[in-house]
Amino acid sequence: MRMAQSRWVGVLTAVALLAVSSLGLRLSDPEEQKFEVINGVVGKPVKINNGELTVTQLRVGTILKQFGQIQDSTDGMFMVIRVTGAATGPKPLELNASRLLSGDFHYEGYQSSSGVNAQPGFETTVDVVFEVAPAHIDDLTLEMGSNEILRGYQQRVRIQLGITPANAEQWSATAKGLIEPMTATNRAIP
Amino acid sequence: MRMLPLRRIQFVVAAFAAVLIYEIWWVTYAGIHYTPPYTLRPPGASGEMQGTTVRVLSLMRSDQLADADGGEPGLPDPGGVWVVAELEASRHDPAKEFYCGDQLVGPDWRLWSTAAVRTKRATQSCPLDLAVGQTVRFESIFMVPARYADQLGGIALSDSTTAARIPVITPPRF
Repeated sequence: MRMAQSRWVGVLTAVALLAVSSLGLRLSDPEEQKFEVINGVVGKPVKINNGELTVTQLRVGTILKQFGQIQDSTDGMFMVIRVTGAATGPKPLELNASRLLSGDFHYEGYQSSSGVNAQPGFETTVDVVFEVAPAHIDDLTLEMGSNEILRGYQQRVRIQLGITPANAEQWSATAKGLIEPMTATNRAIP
Repeated sequence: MRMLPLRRIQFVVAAFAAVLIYEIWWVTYAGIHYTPPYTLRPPGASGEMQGTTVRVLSLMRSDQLADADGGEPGLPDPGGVWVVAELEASRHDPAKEFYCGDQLVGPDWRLWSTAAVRTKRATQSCPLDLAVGQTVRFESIFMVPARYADQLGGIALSDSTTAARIPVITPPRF
């Protein structure tokens, strides 16, 4: 009897541990999709929690100039994406994580702060910088979201940048010379 | 080497798992359902935050921030307006640190945090080294869209370290 009880405790503990580890894996696996994806295109505002996001411009280059001086150069290419985040609701808009997706290739932001935040009633425009490999930019998509680890309901915006397998080479050929991101600007939503 | 009894290990692991499951459930639930409760205080009344009594002496809006050294006035971002709150604080609880954290309340419980201001001001900003028993006057500067500047609800004394209701205080004539 004692033996049987002990075995049951063991089985229950094993089940509990399996449940905890699978939950932990789900929470820690960045590739596991546990968020809602909202798709958009360049030039049109995309509605998201607490506001709207718009990509208005895409530029490429090989030499990065910031704060009046050359910061870096690359054998690949720098991609500067102009995004405007508008906090249209009562809460601040906080899209502080961004990356580029192209098939299995993921590019993190070149700078540590590569998101857009806006206070209620304001819109902020920033240039987000990425360094990408010209051979892997087909169907390049900007993904922006919040980088909170635990959250009840998450949304991520994915905006197709208009780079297709057909025109990818043209983009690579254009990426020559200096590129200078602008400093962030802020204004009340008109 | 003495082996630990299996049952004791199982008990510790099970307790740890139970606590972890509870914490994950609570964080998720709180993230979905929690909205900070506010208490609107009468005009001129004080509020408590981090062991400190705080009052609003005045709440004014302006299109420019005067520079104390006579330099160029500070301008808000396009479409925005400055809101300057003059506050008085008196720390009375030595067990709690005063971290400021006041926010401006707008329509539909919009909250604005204090703005980063480059203009040198004659009045100090919120002091982080407030001594117990000392009463100080300071100002908090906010930038809000001009269209909301006539719909302000007061100053929320927000404190993320406690689940207590957040007092919203207003100046005597509001």
